[in-house]
Amino acid sequence: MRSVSAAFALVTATLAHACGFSVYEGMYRVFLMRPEVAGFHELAPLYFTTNTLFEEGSSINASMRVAEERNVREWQAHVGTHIPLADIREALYDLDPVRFWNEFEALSARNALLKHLKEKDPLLLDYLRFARRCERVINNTDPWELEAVDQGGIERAIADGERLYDRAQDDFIRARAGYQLVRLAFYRDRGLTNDCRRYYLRNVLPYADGSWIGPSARFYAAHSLPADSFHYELSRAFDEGIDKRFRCAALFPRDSLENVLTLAKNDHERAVMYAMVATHRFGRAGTDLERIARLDPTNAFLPFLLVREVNKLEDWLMTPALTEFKPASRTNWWGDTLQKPVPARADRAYAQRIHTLLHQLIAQGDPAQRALFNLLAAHISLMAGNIADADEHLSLAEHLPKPDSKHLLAQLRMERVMLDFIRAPRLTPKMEQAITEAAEALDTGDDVVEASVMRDQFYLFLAKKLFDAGDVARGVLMLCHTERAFGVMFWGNETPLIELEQRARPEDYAALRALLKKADKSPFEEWLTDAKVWQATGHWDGDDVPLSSEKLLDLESMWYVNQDRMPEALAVLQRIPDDYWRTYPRSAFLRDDPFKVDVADPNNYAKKDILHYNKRQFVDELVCLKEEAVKHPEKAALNAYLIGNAYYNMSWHGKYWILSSTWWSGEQFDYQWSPRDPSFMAHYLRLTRAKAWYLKSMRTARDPELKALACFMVTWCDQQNDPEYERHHRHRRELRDSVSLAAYEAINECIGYDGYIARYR
Amino acid sequence: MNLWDRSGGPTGADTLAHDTPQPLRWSSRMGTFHRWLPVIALAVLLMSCAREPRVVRAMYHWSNDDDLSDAQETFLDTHAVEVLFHKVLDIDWNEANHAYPLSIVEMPDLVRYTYGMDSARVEHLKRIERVPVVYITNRTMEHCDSAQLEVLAAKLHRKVDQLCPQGWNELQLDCDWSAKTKDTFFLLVRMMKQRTGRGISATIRLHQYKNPGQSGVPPVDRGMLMLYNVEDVKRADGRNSIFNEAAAAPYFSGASEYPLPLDIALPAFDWVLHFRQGRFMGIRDAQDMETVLEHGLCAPDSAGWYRMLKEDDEYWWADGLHTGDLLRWERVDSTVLMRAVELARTAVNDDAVRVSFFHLQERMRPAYDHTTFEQAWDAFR
Repeated sequence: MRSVSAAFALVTATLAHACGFSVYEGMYRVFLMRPEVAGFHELAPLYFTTNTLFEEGSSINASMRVAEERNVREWQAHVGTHIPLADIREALYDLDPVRFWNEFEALSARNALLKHLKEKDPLLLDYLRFARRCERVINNTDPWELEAVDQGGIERAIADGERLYDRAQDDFIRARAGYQLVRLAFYRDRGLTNDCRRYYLRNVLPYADGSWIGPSARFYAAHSLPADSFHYELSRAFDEGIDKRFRCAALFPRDSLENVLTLAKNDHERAVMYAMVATHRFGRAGTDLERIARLDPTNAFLPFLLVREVNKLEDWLMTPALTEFKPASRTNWWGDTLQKPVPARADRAYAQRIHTLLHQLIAQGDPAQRALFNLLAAHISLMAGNIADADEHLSLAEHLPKPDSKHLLAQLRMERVMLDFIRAPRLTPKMEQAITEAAEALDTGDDVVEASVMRDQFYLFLAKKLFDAGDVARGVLMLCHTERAFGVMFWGNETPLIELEQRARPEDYAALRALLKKADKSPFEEWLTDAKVWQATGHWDGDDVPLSSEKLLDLESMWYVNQDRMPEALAVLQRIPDDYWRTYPRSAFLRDDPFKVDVADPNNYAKKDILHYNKRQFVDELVCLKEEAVKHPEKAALNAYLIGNAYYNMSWHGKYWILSSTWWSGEQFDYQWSPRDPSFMAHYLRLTRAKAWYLKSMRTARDPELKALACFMVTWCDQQNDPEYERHHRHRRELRDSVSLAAYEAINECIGYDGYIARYR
Repeated sequence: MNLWDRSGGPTGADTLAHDTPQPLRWSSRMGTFHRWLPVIALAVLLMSCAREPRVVRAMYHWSNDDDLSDAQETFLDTHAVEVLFHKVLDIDWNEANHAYPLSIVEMPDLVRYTYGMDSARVEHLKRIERVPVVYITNRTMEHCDSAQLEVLAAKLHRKVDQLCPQGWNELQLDCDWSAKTKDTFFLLVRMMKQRTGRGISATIRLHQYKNPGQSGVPPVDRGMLMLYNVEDVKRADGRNSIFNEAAAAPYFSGASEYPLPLDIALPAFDWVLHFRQGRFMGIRDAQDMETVLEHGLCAPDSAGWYRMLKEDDEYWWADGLHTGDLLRWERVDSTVLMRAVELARTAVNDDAVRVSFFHLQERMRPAYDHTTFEQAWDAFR
């Protein structure tokens, strides 16, 4: 069994460590370029940063909201600006149709649009009620669950819609009534009959000039056409419309593009087709983008597609650079690479290719997009480490006229901070101010990607740069403010405490304590130090309180313990009040005797230990035993055995592992996993220190039974490290006398074992 | 057990714990013998003087779950229930769909899982007659013309057949029809009778029972007299809206015999009425009231009332409840139930009467125990 689990461990170790074991890709994919900078919220499901491509939820809602807002504005243009947009939105979209009907009287008393229509435009009110009816029968299946759709409801609506259309006096109602007829016919016949197209051509097209309705109706009407014409119509609806853009892109064929291209009337139409195909590309779409740039350099979709490419590059280049994860888009749930590994140099070359294209577009593309193109070029240079080029492009972007986009402005701020921070990763007052402002600017009010997610990414980036610059104290505190993490543990993301444990040296702990205690903190430092471990990802360690100085001293002592510098560890532990050891999780070890190893109950589940120690007492005793062994050589063998027990117990295998580590996992040994340096692995997982002390005891002991017991513990340490988990008794040959040999055999066979271990404790 | 076949013989008589089976009377058969009505009436009168009515034990199951739990099946078995009225459809009306179901629930298969079940219990559960019930809002009747009724009847027939794959012999229509909508509802009843050729029963509210002249008498085979929901739930005067004798008794005082054979439906449920500053906010399921009390979110106030002490949106039941809101946890205790039984007994007009409780919950939580159910059923003998 042991061999099977060991084999399994070898297979899965890589996955566990590298892939984000049980971590959703959306939780670790790095993107520091906000996808909304180019707009196109209606294509939000195709943003390359969404948790899952084509995800349900926020991106779908965002994609629908664009057309809804446009419709609301068209209504306001028709009924008059004295009707607030909010009231129009409420009447058109916010209420479920059934509630709209049931509460109509109350609603029309307070809603300006309904009040206006009731008094001034009853025909338009009739249309609105009719539209809500259509919404109900079209968006829902047959409530009786007898047919796919409510055929009766649709038939009635078509009859009423035609009457309404005939009564209409203006294009606004005509186009809209016609549009409802198009949709009703589409859902009645699944788009397969000509009725839908007939309604489009006769009842919508002549009246929908300039409205979002025309291209939307064109999408429905396209379905009864032959394949190539259908796809051509999709490309036109994609280009001209809003609300069906995502559907058009999804339905557009990549494989038969050549046929559709023959129907295109000009280069612009061809470029749109390439843009649609580019939205399908999960990998590189550079070739499509270069084609579009050649055919139609000012093509409106290019900014969106370029941001998408930059987001891909971030995943390919920055996810592995900033975290321990592989690129999310090339990895499946289990961490398996989905395709042949792509060398980083190939990704860097591709980044250069996109950068070149951006240069070309800055010169020849849409002048209104120059700021964005420069920002994207700066971001690529930032990723590539070409800081001078990044600064040049960013400066241009900052000074060029920009579209009225909060997202773009917020991104420029963030980009500037990141760039400056790469050059000088220090939290100066100016930098603190810039970070605060950039983080606040991320709340734009109409986000697709939540501002908090962007902030998390931003803080993760800053934390990484602080760590790289050696400022572990501030890096950890910064990490406490983000839900993102650099890697995973067996139970979830690495917590800031784990990062601290892995990275910090005594001077870092001192710096951290000084920062926490600092009297005159700046507002930024107040925010930074108001860091609670539970604010960040992971709750395992039980430290659901702000980082305390006791906790920091405790961690510092672990560093000395793991360096086997016990007197220094003791000096640190002596600064911690005893109350601290009575708090969880330390309290769970207070009934253990770390100088006793009972291989039959190594974790003291039976609670048979008589002598109890907290961590300070443990190290104190350990130091004393070592000193005593030097002063009194006659005690050296016994003390070496007890010291061996102590090292055994402070390892993964023992009951007092908390002396060396803040966490323990059964899988840690199976996977031989440790984020630390190899020396930690050696003593914590492979028992090198414990074994050395047992050998010393065995070789110096005059008491044959102590010699036998120490020899057995050497064998036991070897056994823990054998993948087959077998006892080889290699050191038994060092036992020469018959008493030792007999005692060894007895201990090995568990005859009188309790007596042997009790005798030396 | 098929009550619609009972005139043909005492099927399942061995499971009827207390009575000698007597056939249920169906008003549709009365037309044939209307010439003999006086004679039959006299005979019935003599028989009723001589014999007690046979009580058919019944339960309503009014839930959107299409499966019965073990506890619910045990209840049916323990109390030798013979008929289960099961709501299969809630029909409402809107502008787009016209009459449409708000909820669709399949008729439960009581013996789907019989592994480890006592064979006698399996046999009993198999014999339970299951009657689909369709609730129809009065608003639906207000909006439907005869053409729409035809469509509705066709869909109802098809849907009920679909929801009762084991077949059905009786359909119960539950509608609080008014004088204004009675013709529409009665037309629907006739359409359903004609379409299905099977028995149709209808629920009868107390106001319909008291004033058959005004409200009309539905052309159904049997009526189910409902002795609950006797008051407007929106009243904040503290009177129990589920049942209180003061409100119910006048409906029976001076009431003549109802011109349909009647069954009886009695309350066995509780609910929580939610009021804010005297304004009715809605009905809440009482399932979690005890837990809410345990959590200290509300505490008893004046008689029958509970006051919200704190808000806790984390607890889903308490979502929307504000500090200071008043809750009325309405139940019917055994004494009051027996008063309802006494009133209901005066309405019994047939040799056999189905006495049903509303309704079979996952965890029966009336203010009385199982003995009270037995006493209530026995009281009709």
